[in-house]
Amino acid sequence: CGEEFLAVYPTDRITTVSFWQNENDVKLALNGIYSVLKHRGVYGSGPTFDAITPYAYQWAHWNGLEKQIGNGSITASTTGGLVDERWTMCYRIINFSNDFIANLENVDLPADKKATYLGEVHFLRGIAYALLADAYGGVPIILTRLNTQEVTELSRNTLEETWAQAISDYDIAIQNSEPVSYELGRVTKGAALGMKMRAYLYQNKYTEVLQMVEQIDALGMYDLFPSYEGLFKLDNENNEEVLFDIQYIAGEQGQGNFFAWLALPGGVAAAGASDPAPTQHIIDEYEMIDGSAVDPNNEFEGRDPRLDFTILRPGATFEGRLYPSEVPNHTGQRVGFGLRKNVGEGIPLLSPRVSPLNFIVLRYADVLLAKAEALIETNQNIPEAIGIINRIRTERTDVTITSLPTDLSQEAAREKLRHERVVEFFGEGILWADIKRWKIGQDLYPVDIKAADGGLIEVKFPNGYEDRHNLLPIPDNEISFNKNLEQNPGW
Amino acid sequence: NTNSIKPVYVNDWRAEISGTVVDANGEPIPGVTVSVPGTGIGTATDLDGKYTLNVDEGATIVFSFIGFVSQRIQISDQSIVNITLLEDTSSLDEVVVVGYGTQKRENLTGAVSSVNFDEELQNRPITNASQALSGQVPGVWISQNSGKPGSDGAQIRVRGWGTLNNSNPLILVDGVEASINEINPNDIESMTVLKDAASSAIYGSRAANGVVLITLKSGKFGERTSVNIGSYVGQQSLGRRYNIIENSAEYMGMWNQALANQGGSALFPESVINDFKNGSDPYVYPNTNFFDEVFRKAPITEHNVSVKGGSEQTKFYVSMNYLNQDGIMLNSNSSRYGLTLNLESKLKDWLTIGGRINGIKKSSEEPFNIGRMMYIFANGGYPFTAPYTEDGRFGSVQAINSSGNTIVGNRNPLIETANGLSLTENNFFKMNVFADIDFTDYLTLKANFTSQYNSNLRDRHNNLVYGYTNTGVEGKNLDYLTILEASRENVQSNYNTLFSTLNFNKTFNEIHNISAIAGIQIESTVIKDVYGRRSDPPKEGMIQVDAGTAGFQANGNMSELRMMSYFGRVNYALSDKYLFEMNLRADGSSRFKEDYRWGVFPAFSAGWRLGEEAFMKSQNLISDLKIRASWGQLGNQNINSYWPYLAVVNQTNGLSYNFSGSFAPGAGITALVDESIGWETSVTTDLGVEFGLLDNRIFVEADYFMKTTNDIIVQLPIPSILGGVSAPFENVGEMTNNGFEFNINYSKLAKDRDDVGYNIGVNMTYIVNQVTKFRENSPDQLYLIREGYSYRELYGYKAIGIYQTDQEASEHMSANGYIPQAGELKYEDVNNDGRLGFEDKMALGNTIPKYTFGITPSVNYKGFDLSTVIMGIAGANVYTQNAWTQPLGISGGTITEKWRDAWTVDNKSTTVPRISISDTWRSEASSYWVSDISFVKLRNIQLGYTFSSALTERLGLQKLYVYGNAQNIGSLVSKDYEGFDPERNTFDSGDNFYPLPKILSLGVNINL
Repeated sequence: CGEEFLAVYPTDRITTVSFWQNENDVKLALNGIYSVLKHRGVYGSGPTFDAITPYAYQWAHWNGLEKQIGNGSITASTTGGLVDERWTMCYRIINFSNDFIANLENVDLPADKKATYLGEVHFLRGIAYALLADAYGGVPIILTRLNTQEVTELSRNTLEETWAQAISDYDIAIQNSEPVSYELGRVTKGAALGMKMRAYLYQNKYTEVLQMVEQIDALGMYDLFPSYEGLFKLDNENNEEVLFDIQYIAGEQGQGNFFAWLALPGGVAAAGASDPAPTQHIIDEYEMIDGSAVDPNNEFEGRDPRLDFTILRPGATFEGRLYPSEVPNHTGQRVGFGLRKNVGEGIPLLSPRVSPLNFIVLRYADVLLAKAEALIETNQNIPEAIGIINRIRTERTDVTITSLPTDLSQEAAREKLRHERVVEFFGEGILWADIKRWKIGQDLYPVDIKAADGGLIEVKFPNGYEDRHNLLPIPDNEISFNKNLEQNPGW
Repeated sequence: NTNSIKPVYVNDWRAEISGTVVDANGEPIPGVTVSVPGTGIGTATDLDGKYTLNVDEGATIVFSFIGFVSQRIQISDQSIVNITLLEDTSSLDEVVVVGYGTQKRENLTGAVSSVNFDEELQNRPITNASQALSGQVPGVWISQNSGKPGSDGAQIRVRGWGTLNNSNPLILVDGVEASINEINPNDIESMTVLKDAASSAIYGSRAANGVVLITLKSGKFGERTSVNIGSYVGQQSLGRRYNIIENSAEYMGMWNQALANQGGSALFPESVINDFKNGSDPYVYPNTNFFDEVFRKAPITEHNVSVKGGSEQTKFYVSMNYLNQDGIMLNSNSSRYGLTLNLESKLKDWLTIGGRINGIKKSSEEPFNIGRMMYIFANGGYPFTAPYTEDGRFGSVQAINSSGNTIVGNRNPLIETANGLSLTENNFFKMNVFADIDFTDYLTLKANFTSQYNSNLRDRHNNLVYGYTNTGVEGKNLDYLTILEASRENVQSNYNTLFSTLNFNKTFNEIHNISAIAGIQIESTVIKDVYGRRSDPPKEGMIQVDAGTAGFQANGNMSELRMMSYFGRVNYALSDKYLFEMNLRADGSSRFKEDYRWGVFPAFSAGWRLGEEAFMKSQNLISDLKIRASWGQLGNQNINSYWPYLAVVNQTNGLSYNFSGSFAPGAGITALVDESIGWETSVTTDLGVEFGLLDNRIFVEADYFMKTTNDIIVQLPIPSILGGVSAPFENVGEMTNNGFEFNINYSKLAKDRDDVGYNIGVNMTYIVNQVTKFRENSPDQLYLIREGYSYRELYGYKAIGIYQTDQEASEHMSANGYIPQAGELKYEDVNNDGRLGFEDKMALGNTIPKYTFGITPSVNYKGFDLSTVIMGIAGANVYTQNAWTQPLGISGGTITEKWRDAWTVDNKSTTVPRISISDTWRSEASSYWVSDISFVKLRNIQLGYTFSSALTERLGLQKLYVYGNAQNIGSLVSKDYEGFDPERNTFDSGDNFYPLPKILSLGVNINL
């Protein structure tokens, strides 16, 4: 009688005993892995990742530590933010995925369904390994379920092995997925090919990049969206330019992005935090439409329209109100610019303060510019490469600026390509990776971050950028658990 | 008139004796037992203290009453015997409530302390019963960590932090587990604290952190009905606070300096600073100290009426209580109504039944988000913010640049205090019935059933409040929620318990006394919560959830805990001198998996009343002496999980995703489990001595104790490579708390009203806490949990000064990622590798106090009484880095006066680094932010006057007492300590916390 009395169990959650029984369980678990993509250590910080670069300033330094990573003030013992969240959350994807793969075998499902789900889970695991490789270099590769003891005995694999793992995961995804997925937002063949292309691009493996672009183009599904401004509008989500994005919705389940609220200018309806703030360095990157020099007395006139589609600058209006007098800057944010791209102008935010706007991880412009870069770096066909860049500069209805001459040297073409990526992709969180793979940190830094009134706010990497800054340190805490984990050089 | 006694001879060898029993004040004492030992002859005094008894000539009569020194009178030929009983402060004859029963204090073999709620304690403006123990009891540390009206219960630690889990003692009210927040302090008769394992072993599983037994008042059989009315009114105000810069011009200069120090340019133009220097209009050039605006003097009042009495068959106690307390923080208050009814009836010689009903209704109001108010204040609250505009609206930042915009965004904390309402309604109801069946005079069966219901209903809504500059520019506070929302949450808990004991008590051959108990108890707790919320009502002011048109949210869950226990105790006393006790309890808990559910906890203790030995009777110095020893095991399972062994596939919104624009529920295992976890066990050995000197005028109790907690259920830190899942609960920790405690009491009783009486009690506890087993190389963290260290010892870099030059800094930190500059803190580079790393961290001081003490002097003379409670701690540290102590908060905020002495090239000999804002280097956990928190505090002082009985009789009263009381008056603490009242939680930085109020009150107590 006593034992019966003491036997009470929760009625609000699933226990492992009653899980992995049917397809519904499989989908719950799979969605659970997708959900990690929303974490700020993975893609959840959205444009804020650009605050690591010279082009944006993060004054809210407690949100993700992009500021500290980007100004050289982190150490191996720095905790929090991206320094350990990328590690933790990528490994969450990996562990969830390994568990999923192990359990899927025992669920009674038709083989084609299993194949689809396996494709999805390998794609997600591939993303995790790719992000880890980009952030930390070679990391321990885990492909099975490990217990608390086993994980403290792992050693780091090499960078090549880690990338290879990502590639092989993507390969299974490519094999098992369809050009159009059974639900919008799930893995498609294009997404898997695209992320594999990015994995090669980040390793500077340009021949393979070209192969991947060919396969993507063979799908015949992707093109530039006619409007650059429209590309980031709620109405145009999932358009032909999008290969892979993080899907957000409005509503009370908190399934929206949080970065939009942070990035919205302070003082608008939903009380944003103006974080991150674009800096003068990104403003300077935008050319004049006609290729002339910027008029210092009328500096926002005649500029590449992408400037105003991306950045809120003095004299611009946001939701019908003038910046920065009616839409004020945030305390502490004296930079004088706000972000417009990816903040969802005009979309009311509900509490919890999240935005339904999807975050594009990979779009076709990136595929095009990757191809152009590969053509330039392999010195195969510079005119073709410039032609591609000119597509970006002229093809959309709302972006038509002067075309580049096609007879450039490899060196000059490289400059143009890199410049174009900065302008095209600012506010999308991928510029940091470019700086690292191009190894241009030493040329860029130190960088002064100036206030709107010309005053100095901070100097990024005041003591100069070193090679070690191309990788994050392995979190000290992880090493304290596992002596086999070697720290990255210089940290 | 008592003098007209005519002896009536019932039997001719018996004489009738009569008389009156009074106390030192001449007040009659009803209910005094008047008996002839060994004969069964006896009676009790009536309401007027009178008695009549037929006794043999030459017999000895004993007059005894709880709390008074018994008197023995040998009858010769007198027929009238009037007796004055003196109050017994030695408390040796005291009956102490122990687990499932009572025991004479002299027969205790464990470490037990008790506090009687006399007038001194009762008349203090105690808003929560837990506060009453402060400074009173050795081994018990009371720390009131919040002054928020309605939730100002103090943290109670019995002999320190016994586990890495919940270290709260078990609170039992009349034998039934309860929360100390659910008691009207006025109803308390006494509180007993069981400190060692032997005393608390009968409670087995949940007694590892000590037991506080609270006995509520009740009537007495054959007692005249009496009414007690107590009332006080008081005023509360903010005591110690952060000393913040309130001069705007100075403040702006410091902010500019901070920016300059970090290579930035000035934020406030000189012209603005000069305007503030010269301007006098408080609406245009304010110099605001928001402590003066956000805090206020607030009234507190409490009224209590109780009636008690009894016939020969039935006794009762009824009380009604009303407390109304406004918070010292604007727009916060709490009121409480309480009703208590105790009834007990002797139905038959062999059957007593009774019941208790207790209801409390408490409602507390505070702004929509009171935490945000402190946050905005500490991280804003600029002196150049006008609290209000001239036309009475909330003010805004008055530092305005040339283009007419405010230089920084508005952060007026008053806006947060005016925002909406969070109303908490707490309804508590308890029903208890019991029956005692006497099978024989030595065998009794007791049964007790209790059902408790507690509901916490919280309604919250916000509204839209903005600030305005003097010129009418609207300024919204930082991150101000501009969506109107309303929510209602209810957490309802039901607790039912049934226990039954069989009690045996018999003396064999006059010298062998055996008492024993065997019992069974079952308990069940069910907690249900529900939450609903909507946003966007059609109109401001529609604050019901139904009014919302969007943002639908609903939550609801249930947790359940069941326990089943068997327990027993045997006491054996030989000649009242040699005392032995044995306890055994077996507990089963639904928290553990089937095979690990049951824990068995034994305890043994023994005492020797040396003072009763013949050889001790020949001297006069030592009037009493007892030594005692105990050993016992106790269990604990009080952890933050109801099913820690169950592997759960978590299904939450956080684990969900979206496809095709629709919500797609997801799940994942986010917590690891160890299915074999079971009870954590603590083992306590206690050696104690008690002795009285000079007729017990000096009474000393001292204990040495060693407590080891094994198999502590902890979640060891696990590497993040597991994906940030939470660690399994495992039985792996071990901790020791060794120390000693003593209590010395010196008292002199007043023989009568005109005599001086005084009493001074001093108690002190010394505890060394150490975590003796935890994960090897547990990760560095500020509040460190690691083998060989005190629990939550502070851990970080050691600040060893300030760099005087850039060169000194760059040489010292040559290999560091960040190169500090002149004026920045210099941390010790322990391994001399030119960089700051985890190898350079070290222990910076314990946060658990080594010493806690209390001093309670009191004196009474001619009806006046003065009593004081002084308490404090020593040998403890706190970490103080927070938005107050850091200049300019996180992105602009308050600056404390200490930063006036910040390092500059012209002020190099200082211990304060250069001023800066959002400074990662300075924010490293370091000794710079560690303060010694040792303090001595005047917790309470009371002066009262009891009117003479001549006057009160004329007024038709039994007693009339008036008093003035002051609480939380002030404390002595290290000069370096910045913060509110040092009586605080030592495990946080002391920022977001409702400060304790200073309370001055006047009250009256009337007995009818």
